[in-house]
Amino acid sequence: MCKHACSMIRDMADNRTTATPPQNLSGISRPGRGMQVVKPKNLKGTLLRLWNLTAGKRKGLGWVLLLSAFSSAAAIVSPRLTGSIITRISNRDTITLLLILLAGLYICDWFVKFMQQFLMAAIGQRIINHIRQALFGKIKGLPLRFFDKHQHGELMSRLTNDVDNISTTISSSITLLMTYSFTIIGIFTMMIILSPVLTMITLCSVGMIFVLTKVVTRHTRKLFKEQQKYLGVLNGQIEEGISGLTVVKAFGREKEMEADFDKKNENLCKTSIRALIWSGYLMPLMNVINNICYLTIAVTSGLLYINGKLSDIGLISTFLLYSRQFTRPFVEIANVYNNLQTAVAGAERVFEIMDEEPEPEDRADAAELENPKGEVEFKNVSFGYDEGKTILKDISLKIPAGKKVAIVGPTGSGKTTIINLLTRFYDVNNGSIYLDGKDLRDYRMGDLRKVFGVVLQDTALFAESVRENISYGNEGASLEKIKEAAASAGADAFIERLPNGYDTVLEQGGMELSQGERQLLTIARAVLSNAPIMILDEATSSVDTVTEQKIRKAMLKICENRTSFIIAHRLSTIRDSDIIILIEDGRIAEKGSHAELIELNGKYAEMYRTQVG
Amino acid sequence: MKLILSYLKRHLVIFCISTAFLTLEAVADLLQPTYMSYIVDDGVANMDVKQILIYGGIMLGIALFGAFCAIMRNHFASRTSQTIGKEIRHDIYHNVQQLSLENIDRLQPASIITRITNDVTQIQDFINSIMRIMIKAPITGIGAVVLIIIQTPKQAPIMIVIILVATLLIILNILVGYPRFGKVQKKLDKLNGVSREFLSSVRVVKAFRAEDKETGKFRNASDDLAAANTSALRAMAMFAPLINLTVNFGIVLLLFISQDQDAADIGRLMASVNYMGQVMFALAFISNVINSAVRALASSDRIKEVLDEKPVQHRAENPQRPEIKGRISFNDVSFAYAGSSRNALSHISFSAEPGETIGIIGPTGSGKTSLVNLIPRFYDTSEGEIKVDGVNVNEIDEEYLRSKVALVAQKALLFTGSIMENLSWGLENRNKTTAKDGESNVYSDDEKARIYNAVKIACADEFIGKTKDGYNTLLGQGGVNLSGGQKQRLSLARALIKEPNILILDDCTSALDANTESSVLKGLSEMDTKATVLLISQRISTVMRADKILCLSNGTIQGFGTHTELLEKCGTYREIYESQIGQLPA
Repeated sequence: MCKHACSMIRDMADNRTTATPPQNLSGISRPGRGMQVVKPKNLKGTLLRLWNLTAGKRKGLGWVLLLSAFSSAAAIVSPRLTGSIITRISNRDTITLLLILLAGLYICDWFVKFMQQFLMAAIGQRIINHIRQALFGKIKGLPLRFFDKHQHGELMSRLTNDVDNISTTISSSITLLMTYSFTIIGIFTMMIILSPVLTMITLCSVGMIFVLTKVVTRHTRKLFKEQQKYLGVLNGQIEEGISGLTVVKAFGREKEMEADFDKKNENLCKTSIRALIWSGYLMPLMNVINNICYLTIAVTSGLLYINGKLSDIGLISTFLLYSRQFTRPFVEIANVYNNLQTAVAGAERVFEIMDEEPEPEDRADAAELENPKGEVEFKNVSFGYDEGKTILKDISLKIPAGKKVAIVGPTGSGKTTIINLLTRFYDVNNGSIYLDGKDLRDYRMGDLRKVFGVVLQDTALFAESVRENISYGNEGASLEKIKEAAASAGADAFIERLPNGYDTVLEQGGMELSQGERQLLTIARAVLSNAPIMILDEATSSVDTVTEQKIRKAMLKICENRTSFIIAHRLSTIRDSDIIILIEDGRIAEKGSHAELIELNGKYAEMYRTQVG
Repeated sequence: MKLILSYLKRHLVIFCISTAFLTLEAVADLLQPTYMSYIVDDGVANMDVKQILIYGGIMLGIALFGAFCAIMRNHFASRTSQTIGKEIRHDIYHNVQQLSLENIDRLQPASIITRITNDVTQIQDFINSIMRIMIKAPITGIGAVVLIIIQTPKQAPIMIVIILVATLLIILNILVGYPRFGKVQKKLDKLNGVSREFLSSVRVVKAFRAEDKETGKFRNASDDLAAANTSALRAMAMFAPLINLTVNFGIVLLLFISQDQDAADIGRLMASVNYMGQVMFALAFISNVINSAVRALASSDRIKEVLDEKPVQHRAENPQRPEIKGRISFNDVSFAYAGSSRNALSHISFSAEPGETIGIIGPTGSGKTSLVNLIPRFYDTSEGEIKVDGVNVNEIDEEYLRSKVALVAQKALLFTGSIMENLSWGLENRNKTTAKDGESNVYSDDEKARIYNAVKIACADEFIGKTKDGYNTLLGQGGVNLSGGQKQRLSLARALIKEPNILILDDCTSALDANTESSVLKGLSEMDTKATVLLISQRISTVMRADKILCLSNGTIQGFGTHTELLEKCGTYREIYESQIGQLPA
């Protein structure tokens, strides 16, 4: 019976039965209707892991579970109590005591349900907060490789939606499952004691619902899958059509796009209707089974009473109420199971991240790094982001301290990759990189990153004040130092024009500034870090040439007496570097000063001529 | 709500039929306890087996009838809600396509996409549940109350009190709940903001060892959200159990006042107790109804905003289709983006002759892109006029104009489909046929020649040849499986296939290395059909060989002339030249 009940519940869950009275008014945290149930890969294992993850945050959960047991009491006892009262009324006995008992039962029921929800609110949020922060803690320590592979939107949805789903669903599922299981067992026991015959009728109706669900599910499972597919196709078209509207207009393709859209829209509509109709059969048919069960009980109990097989008339009422209450928990549990599956699938996505390999830990004998000179050496370095696709091939290169190095080469040749290896955003596959004669991996990561001041292609600014943005990573810096840094980056002029100067908050994360201004701020940030090695990755690629001039001046200034790496498309930027390295196809093709390379009359000279004309 | 109603109105007949079935279904449910009471009062009390069976038969009939009604309304509800969803989606999409880019900028594409997907689904679900359960719950509730009063008239005043109290509780629930959940939403936005910022700046965070700082920000936002949620959920924990308690007390009172009930009417009392259960169920649902309605309302407002949006650009009353050779003239043109007080372009006047190549150079933000966007009427001028072959662009048939002008933007946008399908956008006559039938893979020799030629000029032939499926290589959404430079070359080829009379290249070779770029430019200059070319670039080496160069700064023309002329006369141009190429000999 238990096994059958379980599979029935699963079938019902597949049908996404709607029509459950709400647990609360919020609606915000409940998973949206129409969402497809995603099946978890390992329900038990994931639940167990969740359980372990929330260790220490579950204080009070025992109480809630205890309360759940009690909260089914009203459903189990009150029909019997009501039946007794009705019997006594028909026998003209006094009912005062029983009424007080019933009122007491209802008050207890109210209190228990209230406390249950009240307590669960805090426990649930404590757990969710814990999981969320644990997840973030994990994410922040992951290597860049991870961020390359995952889209931001997807990660954010894990941090909020998935985590939220896990907690609300699981916390409510636990209590509901408890309550309903108790209710089913309790009512079943009561019914068996009171009248085995009437119990059989009720069980029959449960069995019928089971069969019905099986039949309906067989049809809907496929239909919902189809619906999801068409929905995906339509959404893809919408996204393309709208974000690419300029191109659509430029090529006069509006009519074609719309026709295409209509076709996909129609497909979705057709399958949705079929899926909905089929799944919609379930509720009314369940209702009719309930009604038939109800009337059968009314008739049978009437007949039993007449034949003297039913002790008192109140039992008729008791069973009628039970028949209404017995099937509902099955439907409800199906819903709970459904939500639980979605939540556990969400939890699995969260655990996927939890299981990612973090940045390698420092070696036990990792050396401290103080006042590095800035001598860098690449020895037979090979590297690829993906297996089987090498980007850098056997790079060897020695850079004495204090030299300005420029890296040039066509897009995709591996320029930025060199920087990524130097800062240990990624680790080499083969060979070694040495800083002051020691392998990078022998230093502590924290110390190592302090060695580099970086200005990257993407000008990342934060929704904080200009001042905080410049002192990012150097929180203690005085305003004086910050202004100094801004001045040497040539950013002071525009900062002072901002409404609140250095205290202006960049509400939109810097989008209110021009690209050049953003770049100057990030240069100021690098200046302030006063790092021994500077890295400037295409720092001037997206600004106009006049601003570029400014930035170049600022760069030259901060590169003085430091080892520095500059990547640039425009050769004009890097002409006065000490060493120019031309990377082509992952290898060093040419190396030398500007004059030397021009004299060599190779690729660099050719590139220079085409750019300069 | 008006929006939902206006769509429902289109399906009014079906909606009414469906509601009628729903009502009958509710009535069928409601009649069960009444007949049950007859079984008890007439059958059981009189020990009359026949009566019991007769009433049992009637109940069975009613139950089956109820099921029939339910199946009918299920059909109608599913059909109506999905059809309305389809109609709204169509209407939004259709309207968005008609809008000017200025409208789109204001509404933001991402927001439009959410509206057409999530918000429509929201409304669809709402209509579906209205037609399934939301109307049924109140009908059942009211019916149950009426029947209770009929069965046990003494209960009437108590029922009124119960309903008043329950209503009060539901209102309180809303008053207490919504502000709190509004706060939750705000905190959630904050948390999302913090995570987004972290994710998009992760390199910088790592490079500056600021992981702890970011963790702190996240912890604060997360704690705030948890606190807001707890407070909201706790406030809500009060109400649902209280509503239950109210109805349950109604049962106690019902039993209390029925103490001296005639034994012959005991069935009626049982029926009333049953009906109380249905009242409770209905009340629990009403708060759900309100909740869904509020959300659907918010969605419908967001959708209405898009549907009400009117294109800001006017279509010409008598659209002209002049022969376009490629003469462009700007006459004192000024332009400002909507909502901006600053002119992006001020008093621009210049002209280009058919077949000429005009280079456009200037610092970022100087108005280069704004200027060329005015030619195919992506935006309209604020002042002054732009003429193409002597006709004001506002008077030219928009579709015709755009078929003669090709604009290749810096950000190359490609669409899901094969490389060939993407390129075929440039074949104007093909557009019509692809939409109609499936013969999209059949190209005439002439068309093929056009495509291959364009691909060659754009230097895209080499990498297309290297892909496994060549021209049939499928591109993911937005061309995700191509590099920036490859996308730019494809989008250039797509424009060239159009064989436009005016070709606008908006820094569209920025992701190409210098060598590829120069061969692309060489190919362009050797094309057979001479289009007027407007060539925007940051690199002076790219524009300096153009027939004439337009040097912009701050939305104004700094100089217009040949390379040598500008070097002589235009300070800004000279500055750019020196910064990129080196000091000129004095």
